[in-house]
Amino acid sequence: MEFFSPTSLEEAYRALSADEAQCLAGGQSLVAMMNLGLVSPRRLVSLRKIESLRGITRQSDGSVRIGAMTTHAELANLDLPGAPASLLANAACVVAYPAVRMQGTLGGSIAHADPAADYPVVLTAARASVEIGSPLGPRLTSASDFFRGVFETALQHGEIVTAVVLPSPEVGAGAAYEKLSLVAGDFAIVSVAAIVAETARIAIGGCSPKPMFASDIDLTDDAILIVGKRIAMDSDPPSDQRASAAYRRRVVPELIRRAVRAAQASA
Amino acid sequence: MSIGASPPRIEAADKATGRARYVDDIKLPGMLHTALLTSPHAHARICGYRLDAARALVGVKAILIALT
Amino acid sequence: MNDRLALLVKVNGELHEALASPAATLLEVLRDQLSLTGTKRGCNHGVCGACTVLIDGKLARSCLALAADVGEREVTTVEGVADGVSCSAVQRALIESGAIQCGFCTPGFVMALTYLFASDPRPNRETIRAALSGNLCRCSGYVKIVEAAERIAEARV
Repeated sequence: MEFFSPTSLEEAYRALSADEAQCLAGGQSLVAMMNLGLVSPRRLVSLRKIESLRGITRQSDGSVRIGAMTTHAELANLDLPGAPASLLANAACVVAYPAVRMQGTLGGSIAHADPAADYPVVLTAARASVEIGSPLGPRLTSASDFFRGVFETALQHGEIVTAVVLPSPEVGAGAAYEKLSLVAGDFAIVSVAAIVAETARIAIGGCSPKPMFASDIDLTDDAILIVGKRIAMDSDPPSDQRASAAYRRRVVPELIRRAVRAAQASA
Repeated sequence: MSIGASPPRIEAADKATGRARYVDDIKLPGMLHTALLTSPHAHARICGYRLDAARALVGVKAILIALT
Repeated sequence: MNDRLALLVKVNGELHEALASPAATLLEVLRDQLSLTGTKRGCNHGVCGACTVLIDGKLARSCLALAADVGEREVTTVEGVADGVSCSAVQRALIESGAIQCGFCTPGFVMALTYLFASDPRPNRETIRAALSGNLCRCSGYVKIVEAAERIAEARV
Protein backbone atom coordinates (compact mmCIF):
# COMPACT_ATOMS: atom_id res chain seq x y z
CA MET A 1 0.00 0.00 0.00
CA GLU A 2 1.19 3.53 -0.76
CA PHE A 3 0.68 6.36 1.69
CA PHE A 4 0.48 10.01 0.67
CA SER A 5 0.10 13.00 2.97
CA PRO A 6 -0.49 16.05 0.76
CA THR A 7 -0.60 19.58 2.14
CA SER A 8 -2.95 20.99 -0.51
CA LEU A 9 -6.11 19.92 -2.28
CA GLU A 10 -4.34 20.08 -5.66
CA GLU A 11 -1.74 17.59 -4.46
CA ALA A 12 -4.53 15.42 -3.06
CA TYR A 13 -6.45 15.32 -6.34
CA ARG A 14 -3.29 14.26 -8.18
CA ALA A 15 -2.67 11.48 -5.65
CA LEU A 16 -6.31 10.39 -5.81
CA SER A 17 -6.38 10.04 -9.56
CA ALA A 18 -4.66 6.64 -9.31
CA ASP A 19 -6.70 3.45 -9.40
CA GLU A 20 -7.91 2.17 -6.04
CA ALA A 21 -6.77 5.33 -4.30
CA GLN A 22 -8.83 6.30 -1.27
CA CYS A 23 -9.01 9.22 1.10
CA LEU A 24 -8.08 8.86 4.74
CA ALA A 25 -9.85 11.36 6.97
CA GLY A 26 -10.09 10.42 10.67
CA GLY A 27 -9.67 6.73 9.95
CA GLN A 28 -12.37 5.69 12.42
CA SER A 29 -14.28 3.76 9.78
CA LEU A 30 -11.64 3.08 7.14
CA VAL A 31 -8.88 1.73 9.37
CA ALA A 32 -11.41 -0.41 11.25
CA MET A 33 -12.43 -1.96 7.92
CA MET A 34 -8.77 -2.48 7.00
CA ASN A 35 -8.16 -4.22 10.33
CA LEU A 36 -11.16 -6.49 9.76
CA GLY A 37 -9.85 -7.39 6.31
CA LEU A 38 -12.83 -5.79 4.56
CA VAL A 39 -10.81 -3.36 2.44
CA SER A 40 -7.20 -3.08 1.39
CA PRO A 41 -6.68 0.15 -0.52
CA ARG A 42 -3.75 0.23 -2.88
CA ARG A 43 -3.12 3.87 -2.09
CA LEU A 44 -4.22 6.01 0.86
CA VAL A 45 -4.27 9.78 0.65
CA SER A 46 -4.38 11.37 4.09
CA LEU A 47 -6.29 14.65 4.30
CA ARG A 48 -4.91 15.53 7.70
CA LYS A 49 -2.50 18.24 6.60
CA ILE A 50 -4.86 20.10 4.26
CA GLU A 51 -5.73 23.25 6.17
CA SER A 52 -8.42 24.38 3.74
CA LEU A 53 -10.56 21.40 4.84
CA ARG A 54 -10.81 22.79 8.35
CA GLY A 55 -12.72 25.67 9.82
CA ILE A 56 -16.31 26.70 10.37
CA THR A 57 -17.44 29.96 8.79
CA ARG A 58 -20.69 31.90 8.79
CA GLN A 59 -21.37 33.04 5.27
CA SER A 60 -23.03 36.31 4.20
CA ASP A 61 -26.40 34.66 3.53
CA GLY A 62 -26.47 33.23 7.06
CA SER A 63 -25.51 29.72 6.00
CA VAL A 64 -22.68 27.95 7.80
CA ARG A 65 -19.86 26.25 5.96
CA ILE A 66 -18.27 23.43 7.95
CA GLY A 67 -14.94 22.08 6.74
CA ALA A 68 -14.93 18.36 6.02
CA MET A 69 -12.13 17.59 8.48
CA THR A 70 -14.09 19.05 11.41
CA THR A 71 -14.25 16.36 14.09
CA HIS A 72 -17.42 15.10 15.76
CA ALA A 73 -16.13 16.53 19.03
CA GLU A 74 -15.77 19.98 17.46
CA LEU A 75 -19.29 19.71 16.05
CA ALA A 76 -20.70 18.62 19.39
CA ASN A 77 -19.36 21.84 20.87
CA LEU A 78 -20.73 23.97 18.05
CA ASP A 79 -22.11 27.11 19.58
CA LEU A 80 -24.20 28.36 16.69
CA PRO A 81 -27.80 29.41 17.16
CA GLY A 82 -30.76 28.00 15.37
CA ALA A 83 -32.30 24.78 14.27
CA PRO A 84 -29.98 23.19 11.74
CA ALA A 85 -26.83 23.81 13.77
CA SER A 86 -28.28 22.47 17.02
CA LEU A 87 -29.49 19.36 15.22
CA LEU A 88 -26.03 18.65 13.87
CA ALA A 89 -24.47 19.25 17.30
CA ASN A 90 -26.98 16.87 18.92
CA ALA A 91 -26.12 14.15 16.45
CA ALA A 92 -22.38 14.69 16.83
CA CYS A 93 -22.74 14.09 20.59
CA VAL A 94 -24.04 10.56 20.07
CA VAL A 95 -21.65 9.37 17.41
CA ALA A 96 -19.72 6.38 18.79
CA TYR A 97 -17.47 7.13 21.79
CA PRO A 98 -15.35 10.04 23.05
CA ALA A 99 -12.09 8.76 21.51
CA VAL A 100 -13.78 8.20 18.14
CA ARG A 101 -15.40 11.65 18.30
CA MET A 102 -12.06 13.34 18.85
CA GLN A 103 -10.56 11.83 15.70
CA GLY A 104 -13.47 11.03 13.36
CA THR A 105 -14.60 13.71 10.93
CA LEU A 106 -17.82 14.97 9.39
CA GLY A 107 -16.51 14.57 5.84
CA GLY A 108 -15.13 11.11 6.44
CA SER A 109 -18.36 9.98 8.02
CA ILE A 110 -20.63 11.19 5.24
CA ALA A 111 -18.33 9.92 2.50
CA HIS A 112 -18.60 6.50 4.16
CA ALA A 113 -22.42 6.75 4.20
CA ASP A 114 -23.20 3.96 6.62
CA PRO A 115 -27.01 3.61 6.52
CA ALA A 116 -27.11 3.36 10.32
CA ALA A 117 -24.98 6.49 10.84
CA ASP A 118 -26.22 9.75 12.30
CA TYR A 119 -25.20 12.51 9.90
CA PRO A 120 -27.07 11.34 6.78
CA VAL A 121 -30.35 11.56 8.69
CA VAL A 122 -29.59 14.90 10.29
CA LEU A 123 -28.27 16.55 7.16
CA THR A 124 -31.28 15.38 5.16
CA ALA A 125 -33.68 16.84 7.72
CA ALA A 126 -31.66 20.05 7.86
CA ARG A 127 -31.76 20.39 4.06
CA ALA A 128 -27.99 20.77 4.15
CA SER A 129 -25.72 20.72 1.14
CA VAL A 130 -22.51 18.84 0.57
CA GLU A 131 -19.63 20.63 -1.12
CA ILE A 132 -17.70 18.21 -3.33
CA GLY A 133 -14.28 19.20 -4.60
CA SER A 134 -12.49 17.96 -7.68
CA PRO A 135 -9.78 19.17 -10.06
CA LEU A 136 -12.62 20.79 -12.05
CA GLY A 137 -13.69 22.91 -9.10
CA PRO A 138 -16.31 22.57 -6.35
CA ARG A 139 -19.93 21.57 -6.77
CA LEU A 140 -22.78 21.70 -4.28
CA THR A 141 -25.19 18.78 -3.88
CA SER A 142 -28.20 18.56 -1.60
CA ALA A 143 -27.80 16.06 1.20
CA SER A 144 -30.75 14.05 -0.10
CA ASP A 145 -29.00 13.72 -3.47
CA PHE A 146 -25.59 13.06 -1.91
CA PHE A 147 -26.65 9.95 -0.01
CA ARG A 148 -27.55 7.37 -2.63
CA GLY A 149 -27.64 4.02 -0.87
CA VAL A 150 -25.79 1.68 1.44
CA PHE A 151 -22.21 3.04 1.56
CA GLU A 152 -23.04 4.82 -1.70
CA THR A 153 -22.79 8.55 -2.33
CA ALA A 154 -22.64 10.99 -5.22
CA LEU A 155 -18.84 11.10 -4.96
CA GLN A 156 -17.10 10.20 -8.19
CA HIS A 157 -13.63 8.67 -8.21
CA GLY A 158 -11.05 11.33 -7.43
CA GLU A 159 -13.49 13.67 -5.68
CA ILE A 160 -13.31 14.78 -2.06
CA VAL A 161 -15.99 16.03 0.29
CA THR A 162 -14.63 19.46 1.14
CA ALA A 163 -17.41 20.90 3.30
CA VAL A 164 -20.99 20.67 4.50
CA VAL A 165 -23.14 23.78 4.23
CA LEU A 166 -25.97 24.25 6.71
CA PRO A 167 -28.79 26.57 5.65
CA SER A 168 -29.29 29.74 7.65
CA PRO A 169 -31.05 29.32 11.00
CA GLU A 170 -34.83 29.05 10.93
CA VAL A 171 -36.35 31.58 13.26
CA GLY A 172 -38.50 29.99 15.95
CA ALA A 173 -37.77 26.45 14.85
CA GLY A 174 -36.83 23.64 17.21
CA ALA A 175 -34.88 20.52 16.41
CA ALA A 176 -34.28 17.12 17.95
CA TYR A 177 -32.48 13.92 17.11
CA GLU A 178 -33.78 10.64 18.53
CA LYS A 179 -31.49 7.65 18.22
CA LEU A 180 -32.52 4.16 19.25
CA SER A 181 -29.52 1.94 19.87
CA LEU A 182 -28.79 -1.15 21.96
CA VAL A 183 -26.05 0.54 23.94
CA ALA A 184 -24.63 4.05 24.02
CA GLY A 185 -22.22 4.62 21.18
CA ASP A 186 -23.57 1.86 18.98
CA PHE A 187 -24.97 2.50 15.52
CA ALA A 188 -28.67 3.35 15.40
CA ILE A 189 -31.31 0.67 15.02
CA VAL A 190 -33.61 3.46 13.92
CA SER A 191 -33.06 7.20 14.20
CA VAL A 192 -35.20 10.25 13.51
CA ALA A 193 -34.20 13.89 13.04
CA ALA A 194 -36.98 16.43 13.31
CA ILE A 195 -37.14 20.18 12.66
CA VAL A 196 -40.36 21.84 13.79
CA ALA A 197 -41.68 25.32 13.16
CA GLU A 198 -45.35 25.64 12.11
CA THR A 199 -45.16 22.11 10.77
CA ALA A 200 -42.64 19.34 11.13
CA ARG A 201 -40.21 17.84 8.72
CA ILE A 202 -38.40 14.63 9.53
CA ALA A 203 -35.72 12.34 8.21
CA ILE A 204 -35.53 8.71 9.21
CA GLY A 205 -32.48 6.46 9.28
CA GLY A 206 -31.98 2.74 9.65
CA CYS A 207 -35.12 1.92 7.70
CA SER A 208 -33.86 2.06 4.14
CA PRO A 209 -30.67 2.29 2.09
CA LYS A 210 -30.77 6.09 2.28
CA PRO A 211 -32.59 8.38 4.73
CA MET A 212 -36.35 8.71 4.29
CA PHE A 213 -37.92 12.14 4.38
CA ALA A 214 -41.31 13.63 5.07
CA SER A 215 -42.35 17.27 5.46
CA ASP A 216 -45.32 19.57 6.07
CA ILE A 217 -46.52 17.37 8.92
CA ASP A 218 -49.18 18.92 11.13
CA LEU A 219 -48.36 18.85 14.79
CA THR A 220 -51.43 16.96 15.97
CA ASP A 221 -51.15 13.47 17.46
CA ASP A 222 -53.21 12.05 14.63
CA ALA A 223 -51.15 13.60 11.85
CA ILE A 224 -47.91 12.42 13.45
CA LEU A 225 -49.26 8.92 13.84
CA ILE A 226 -50.45 8.77 10.24
CA VAL A 227 -47.03 9.83 8.96
CA GLY A 228 -45.37 7.32 11.28
CA LYS A 229 -47.48 4.47 9.98
CA ARG A 230 -46.95 5.51 6.38
CA ILE A 231 -43.18 5.65 6.85
CA ALA A 232 -43.24 2.24 8.48
CA MET A 233 -45.22 0.82 5.56
CA ASP A 234 -43.07 2.43 2.88
CA SER A 235 -39.80 1.53 4.56
CA ASP A 236 -37.46 -1.24 3.56
CA PRO A 237 -35.53 -1.92 6.76
CA PRO A 238 -32.81 -4.54 7.07
CA SER A 239 -32.84 -7.45 9.47
CA ASP A 240 -29.44 -7.66 11.12
CA GLN A 241 -27.74 -8.53 14.38
CA ARG A 242 -29.22 -5.46 16.05
CA ALA A 243 -32.88 -5.84 15.15
CA SER A 244 -35.30 -7.42 12.72
CA ALA A 245 -37.02 -5.50 9.94
CA ALA A 246 -40.33 -6.04 11.72
CA TYR A 247 -38.98 -4.52 14.92
CA ARG A 248 -37.72 -1.47 13.07
CA ARG A 249 -41.09 -0.96 11.40
CA ARG A 250 -42.76 -1.31 14.77
CA VAL A 251 -40.68 1.30 16.59
CA VAL A 252 -40.33 3.94 13.91
CA PRO A 253 -43.75 5.64 14.47
CA GLU A 254 -43.00 6.08 18.18
CA LEU A 255 -39.52 7.39 17.50
CA ILE A 256 -40.99 9.87 15.05
CA ARG A 257 -43.47 11.02 17.67
CA ARG A 258 -40.69 11.48 20.23
CA ALA A 259 -38.48 13.40 17.84
CA VAL A 260 -41.25 15.78 16.77
CA ARG A 261 -42.36 16.46 20.35
CA ALA A 262 -38.78 16.94 21.52
CA ALA A 263 -38.14 19.33 18.64
CA GLN A 264 -41.24 21.34 19.59
CA ALA A 265 -40.06 21.55 23.17
CA SER A 266 -36.65 22.82 22.15
CA ALA A 267 -37.96 25.72 20.06
CA MET B 1 -3.28 -8.38 57.86
CA SER B 2 -6.61 -8.60 59.67
CA ILE B 3 -10.00 -9.70 58.40
CA GLY B 4 -11.83 -6.68 57.02
CA ALA B 5 -8.66 -4.92 55.84
CA SER B 6 -8.50 -3.92 52.16
CA PRO B 7 -4.96 -4.49 50.93
CA PRO B 8 -4.32 -3.42 47.37
CA ARG B 9 -3.53 -6.12 44.85
CA ILE B 10 0.17 -6.92 44.76
CA GLU B 11 0.33 -6.47 41.01
CA ALA B 12 -2.11 -3.55 40.73
CA ALA B 13 0.62 -0.95 40.21
CA ASP B 14 2.16 -2.99 37.40
CA LYS B 15 -1.22 -3.24 35.70
CA ALA B 16 -1.98 0.46 36.10
CA THR B 17 1.37 1.52 34.65
CA GLY B 18 1.44 -0.93 31.74
CA ARG B 19 4.38 -2.83 33.19
CA ALA B 20 2.42 -6.04 33.71
CA ARG B 21 3.16 -8.56 30.99
CA TYR B 22 0.34 -10.52 29.45
CA VAL B 23 0.96 -13.38 27.07
CA ASP B 24 0.60 -11.19 23.97
CA ASP B 25 3.19 -8.79 25.40
CA ILE B 26 5.90 -11.43 25.49
CA LYS B 27 8.36 -11.25 22.61
CA LEU B 28 11.18 -13.77 22.38
CA PRO B 29 13.84 -13.98 19.67
CA GLY B 30 12.80 -16.38 16.93
CA MET B 31 9.30 -16.58 18.40
CA LEU B 32 6.64 -18.25 16.29
CA HIS B 33 2.88 -17.67 16.40
CA THR B 34 0.24 -20.36 16.40
CA ALA B 35 -2.99 -20.17 14.48
CA LEU B 36 -5.67 -22.63 15.50
CA LEU B 37 -8.03 -24.22 12.99
CA THR B 38 -11.03 -25.86 14.61
CA SER B 39 -13.70 -28.03 13.11
CA PRO B 40 -16.78 -26.21 11.92
CA HIS B 41 -18.81 -29.36 12.64
CA ALA B 42 -19.68 -30.67 16.10
CA HIS B 43 -18.97 -34.32 16.88
CA ALA B 44 -17.28 -34.73 13.51
CA ARG B 45 -14.69 -37.35 12.76
CA ILE B 46 -11.48 -36.19 11.08
CA CYS B 47 -11.14 -38.27 7.93
CA GLY B 48 -8.05 -36.61 6.50
CA TYR B 49 -6.05 -33.45 5.92
CA ARG B 50 -5.28 -31.30 2.88
CA LEU B 51 -2.22 -29.35 3.94
CA ASP B 52 -0.64 -28.25 0.66
CA ALA B 53 -2.20 -24.79 0.52
CA ALA B 54 -1.26 -24.08 4.14
CA ARG B 55 2.30 -25.34 3.62
CA ALA B 56 2.64 -23.08 0.58
CA LEU B 57 1.91 -19.90 2.58
CA VAL B 58 4.92 -17.69 3.24
CA GLY B 59 6.08 -17.93 6.83
CA VAL B 60 4.53 -21.28 7.74
CA LYS B 61 7.18 -23.16 9.71
CA ALA B 62 5.24 -26.18 10.84
CA ILE B 63 1.78 -27.69 10.87
CA LEU B 64 0.66 -29.77 13.82
CA ILE B 65 -2.11 -32.31 13.45
CA ALA B 66 -3.66 -34.92 15.74
CA LEU B 67 -2.38 -38.42 15.14
CA THR B 68 -5.22 -40.31 16.79
CA MET C 1 6.78 -6.55 3.24
CA ASN C 2 8.91 -4.67 0.74
CA ASP C 3 7.09 -1.38 1.02
CA ARG C 4 8.19 -0.39 4.50
CA LEU C 5 8.37 3.24 5.53
CA ALA C 6 10.93 4.77 7.86
CA LEU C 7 8.81 6.55 10.43
CA LEU C 8 9.70 9.00 13.15
CA VAL C 9 7.19 8.97 15.98
CA LYS C 10 7.29 11.04 19.16
CA VAL C 11 6.07 8.89 22.05
CA ASN C 12 6.07 9.98 25.69
CA GLY C 13 8.42 12.82 24.89
CA GLU C 14 10.98 10.72 23.03
CA LEU C 15 11.57 10.52 19.30
CA HIS C 16 11.58 6.95 18.00
CA GLU C 17 12.48 5.47 14.65
CA ALA C 18 10.43 2.63 13.32
CA LEU C 19 10.35 0.68 10.09
CA ALA C 20 6.76 -0.21 9.34
CA SER C 21 4.37 -0.97 6.54
CA PRO C 22 2.27 2.05 5.47
CA ALA C 23 -0.77 0.07 6.58
CA ALA C 24 0.60 -0.51 10.09
CA THR C 25 -1.45 0.93 12.90
CA LEU C 26 0.00 3.00 15.70
CA LEU C 27 -0.94 0.14 18.01
CA GLU C 28 1.24 -2.29 16.08
CA VAL C 29 4.19 0.10 16.02
CA LEU C 30 3.90 0.86 19.74
CA ARG C 31 3.69 -2.79 20.78
CA ASP C 32 5.76 -4.62 18.19
CA GLN C 33 8.39 -2.08 17.15
CA LEU C 34 8.81 0.12 20.22
CA SER C 35 8.11 -2.63 22.78
CA LEU C 36 5.66 -0.35 24.59
CA THR C 37 3.27 -3.14 25.43
CA GLY C 38 1.27 -1.23 28.02
CA THR C 39 -1.25 -0.30 25.31
CA LYS C 40 -3.34 -3.38 24.66
CA ARG C 41 -4.88 -4.95 21.57
CA GLY C 42 -8.47 -5.92 22.39
CA CYS C 43 -10.96 -5.88 19.53
CA ASN C 44 -8.68 -4.18 17.00
CA HIS C 45 -11.56 -2.28 15.44
CA GLY C 46 -12.19 0.61 17.74
CA VAL C 47 -14.92 -0.60 20.05
CA CYS C 48 -13.30 -1.86 23.28
CA GLY C 49 -10.96 1.02 24.20
CA ALA C 50 -8.05 -1.14 25.39
CA CYS C 51 -5.79 0.51 22.79
CA THR C 52 -6.58 4.09 23.86
CA VAL C 53 -3.71 6.60 23.76
CA LEU C 54 -3.47 10.38 23.56
CA ILE C 55 -2.41 12.07 20.31
CA ASP C 56 -1.62 15.76 20.83
CA GLY C 57 -3.53 15.50 24.08
CA LYS C 58 -6.72 14.09 22.53
CA LEU C 59 -8.02 10.57 23.04
CA ALA C 60 -7.41 8.25 20.11
CA ARG C 61 -7.84 4.56 19.36
CA SER C 62 -4.34 3.52 18.44
CA CYS C 63 -5.79 0.57 16.52
CA LEU C 64 -7.52 3.05 14.22
CA ALA C 65 -4.55 5.40 13.79
CA LEU C 66 -2.20 4.62 10.93
CA ALA C 67 1.35 5.00 12.21
CA ALA C 68 2.26 6.76 8.98
CA ASP C 69 -0.43 9.37 9.61
CA VAL C 70 0.68 10.30 13.14
CA GLY C 71 3.39 12.54 11.70
CA GLU C 72 4.72 15.27 13.94
CA ARG C 73 2.01 14.81 16.57
CA GLU C 74 2.86 13.70 20.10
CA VAL C 75 1.70 10.35 21.33
CA THR C 76 1.19 9.64 25.03
CA THR C 77 0.75 6.06 26.23
CA VAL C 78 0.09 4.59 29.68
CA GLU C 79 3.83 4.32 30.16
CA GLY C 80 4.04 8.10 29.84
CA VAL C 81 1.31 9.45 32.11
CA ALA C 82 3.27 9.24 35.33
CA ASP C 83 5.61 12.00 34.24
CA GLY C 84 8.62 10.99 36.31
CA VAL C 85 6.92 9.84 39.50
CA SER C 86 5.97 6.19 39.93
CA CYS C 87 2.22 6.66 39.49
CA SER C 88 -0.09 9.45 38.46
CA ALA C 89 -3.08 10.45 40.58
CA VAL C 90 -5.33 8.53 38.17
CA GLN C 91 -3.25 5.38 38.44
CA ARG C 92 -3.03 5.67 42.23
CA ALA C 93 -6.79 6.07 42.54
CA LEU C 94 -7.47 2.98 40.42
CA ILE C 95 -5.02 0.94 42.49
CA GLU C 96 -6.41 2.11 45.82
CA SER C 97 -10.08 1.76 44.86
CA GLY C 98 -9.84 -1.91 43.99
CA ALA C 99 -10.72 -0.99 40.41
CA ILE C 100 -8.23 -3.39 38.85
CA GLN C 101 -8.93 -7.10 38.41
CA CYS C 102 -7.36 -8.75 35.39
CA GLY C 103 -6.09 -5.33 34.43
CA PHE C 104 -6.30 -5.71 30.67
CA CYS C 105 -8.69 -2.77 30.29
CA THR C 106 -6.81 -0.68 32.85
CA PRO C 107 -4.37 1.16 30.55
CA GLY C 108 -7.30 2.26 28.38
CA PHE C 109 -9.17 3.55 31.44
CA VAL C 110 -6.01 5.29 32.65
CA MET C 111 -5.84 7.21 29.37
CA ALA C 112 -9.55 8.06 29.34
CA LEU C 113 -9.40 9.31 32.95
CA THR C 114 -6.18 11.20 32.31
CA TYR C 115 -7.91 13.06 29.50
CA LEU C 116 -11.02 13.64 31.62
CA PHE C 117 -9.17 15.25 34.50
CA ALA C 118 -7.02 17.32 32.18
CA SER C 119 -10.16 18.89 30.71
CA ASP C 120 -12.56 18.86 33.68
CA PRO C 121 -11.10 19.11 37.19
CA ARG C 122 -14.29 18.16 39.07
CA PRO C 123 -16.53 15.98 36.93
CA ASN C 124 -19.67 14.53 38.44
CA ARG C 125 -20.69 10.89 38.15
CA GLU C 126 -22.65 11.42 34.93
CA THR C 127 -19.72 13.18 33.28
CA ILE C 128 -17.37 10.46 34.45
CA ARG C 129 -19.57 7.71 33.06
CA ALA C 130 -19.93 9.53 29.73
CA ALA C 131 -16.16 10.01 29.54
CA LEU C 132 -15.65 6.29 30.12
CA SER C 133 -18.40 5.18 27.73
CA GLY C 134 -15.82 4.08 25.19
CA ASN C 135 -13.95 1.69 27.48
CA LEU C 136 -15.15 -1.85 28.12
CA CYS C 137 -14.34 -3.87 31.22
CA ARG C 138 -15.38 -7.51 31.43
CA CYS C 139 -14.32 -8.09 35.03
CA SER C 140 -15.41 -5.30 37.28
CA GLY C 141 -18.83 -3.99 36.36
CA TYR C 142 -17.32 -0.48 36.29
CA VAL C 143 -18.44 0.45 39.82
CA LYS C 144 -14.97 0.65 41.34
CA ILE C 145 -13.57 2.44 38.32
CA VAL C 146 -16.19 5.16 38.60
CA GLU C 147 -15.56 5.32 42.37
CA ALA C 148 -11.86 5.79 41.72
CA ALA C 149 -12.66 8.72 39.43
CA GLU C 150 -15.02 10.21 42.03
CA ARG C 151 -12.27 10.00 44.62
CA ILE C 152 -9.98 12.02 42.37
CA ALA C 153 -12.71 14.62 41.77
CA GLU C 154 -13.40 14.91 45.51
CA ALA C 155 -9.73 15.30 46.35
CA ARG C 156 -9.55 18.36 44.13
CA VAL C 157 -10.75 21.55 45.75
